[in-house]
Amino acid sequence: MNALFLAYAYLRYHWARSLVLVLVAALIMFVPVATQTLLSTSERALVARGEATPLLMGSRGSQLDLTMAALYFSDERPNPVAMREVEAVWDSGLGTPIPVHTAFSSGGFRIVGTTLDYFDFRALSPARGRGLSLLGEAVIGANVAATLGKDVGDTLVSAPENLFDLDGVYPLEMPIVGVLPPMNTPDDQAIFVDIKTAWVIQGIGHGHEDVVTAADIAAGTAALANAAVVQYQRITEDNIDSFHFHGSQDDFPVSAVIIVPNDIRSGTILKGRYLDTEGPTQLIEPAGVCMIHAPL
Amino acid sequence: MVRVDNITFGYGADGFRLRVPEFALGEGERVAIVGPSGSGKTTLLNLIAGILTPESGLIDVAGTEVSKLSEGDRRRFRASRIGFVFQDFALLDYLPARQNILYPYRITPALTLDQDARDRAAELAAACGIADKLDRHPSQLSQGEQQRVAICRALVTQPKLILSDEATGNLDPDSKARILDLLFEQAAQAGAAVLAVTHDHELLPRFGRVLDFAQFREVEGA
Repeated sequence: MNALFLAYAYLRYHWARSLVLVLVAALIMFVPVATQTLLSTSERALVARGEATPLLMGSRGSQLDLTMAALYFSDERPNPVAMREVEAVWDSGLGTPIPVHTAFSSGGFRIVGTTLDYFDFRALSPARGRGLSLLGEAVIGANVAATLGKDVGDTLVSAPENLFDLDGVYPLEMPIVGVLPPMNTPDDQAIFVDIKTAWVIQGIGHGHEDVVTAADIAAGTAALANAAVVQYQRITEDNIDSFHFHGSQDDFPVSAVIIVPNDIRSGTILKGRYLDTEGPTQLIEPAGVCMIHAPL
Repeated sequence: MVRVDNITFGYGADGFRLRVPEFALGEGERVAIVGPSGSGKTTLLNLIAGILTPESGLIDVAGTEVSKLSEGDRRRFRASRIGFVFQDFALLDYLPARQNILYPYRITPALTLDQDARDRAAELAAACGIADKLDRHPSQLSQGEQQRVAICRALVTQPKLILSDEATGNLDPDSKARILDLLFEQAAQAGAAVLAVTHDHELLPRFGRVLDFAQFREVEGA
């Protein structure tokens, strides 16, 4: 009791010094607690995202890179797999494959090319505007909207990957048609487009003026190519019909494929099909990857 | 009251060494210790108070052989049986004068802070002329007033021995005599003996006996 009396008298008399000491002590105690809380929250978020994704297919290599790219839209760039892998899952009838194309970005946020199944799978519904319906449209996450100050009716331009890549990856202007509500997941940081839009950004698909114009036909010119043809950097109602893809869609790239098996049995059968370590693709359970790497 | 018999003490193997063959202080006696700086005056006070322990010899204070007590017992004995007055007053800046006087009751379970102790503190303060300053902190008191608080603190536990180490060293000449007289007066009323270290030879006639300490220091190689 006497010790408390003396301590209280000291603290009261040296109030300024005591305040600093209390603040410093509080800070010293707060930092580890805050760090632990932050780590726990991050760990929970990491594991939760992994647990919410049953299976993930991608090219063989780092499981962590694949998981980070497909689930958290990180900067990792796993080797792509061909679209035929998606079709193979469809054909198996064992689950729903959702392709994810995460190779490009805009304004510092990852452009995620996918299908409408992704929005159903993650239960994403725009808080403002509407979902994707046309080639070239974008639906943005809540953080993207807040950070870039964008909303429905604005546009985004994809970042050129390489200024010297004359073969493709030209900037594409994309109208924003929807803004997602805050989900506290990596989806808040993503710019969603149809996977075909991602392929257009990649240069696989494009739209341009007719190589042979009506004037050429009237003049009797049998032109097969024209170096002066204008390639579109914006998809509009007027030029959307001119967009097309070269080659077979089965060969088009996707970064990863989220697979939602019909049931446990279907999932087990699917996993069995990709056990061959010599095969070009792997099928992983992201929850296991997240659990292993969560402390990181 | 105090009996010192053939004690030796040294700081380290090659440092200062002190040997006191014999010294005694009677009840109610007032003895001044003089001597050059470094002769061991303060060391003797610390030995008598049990702050230091001698290498050999006997120190008896009021029938208790201090040098044979454990550390804890020495601390309790010191708090309850000995009053200290220091040159720098050793008041706690965060406590008002009243609580500084009662401080010995806060630091040892050997003493109980009751109403008698509070009344005694108030009476001592009134006797020392600082009754109206009991709620002030040391920084709000003059040096003379601070030393009066220190004297009240030394006497509040009703010790039979007051050890004073240059108690008037920081005071002006007028205050020195007044404070020393006050210390003697209060000690006499409490029946306490006073053993005081001082450099001020003008004050020596006020003591009953003077002990020159130069004789006790052992010079290395002598």
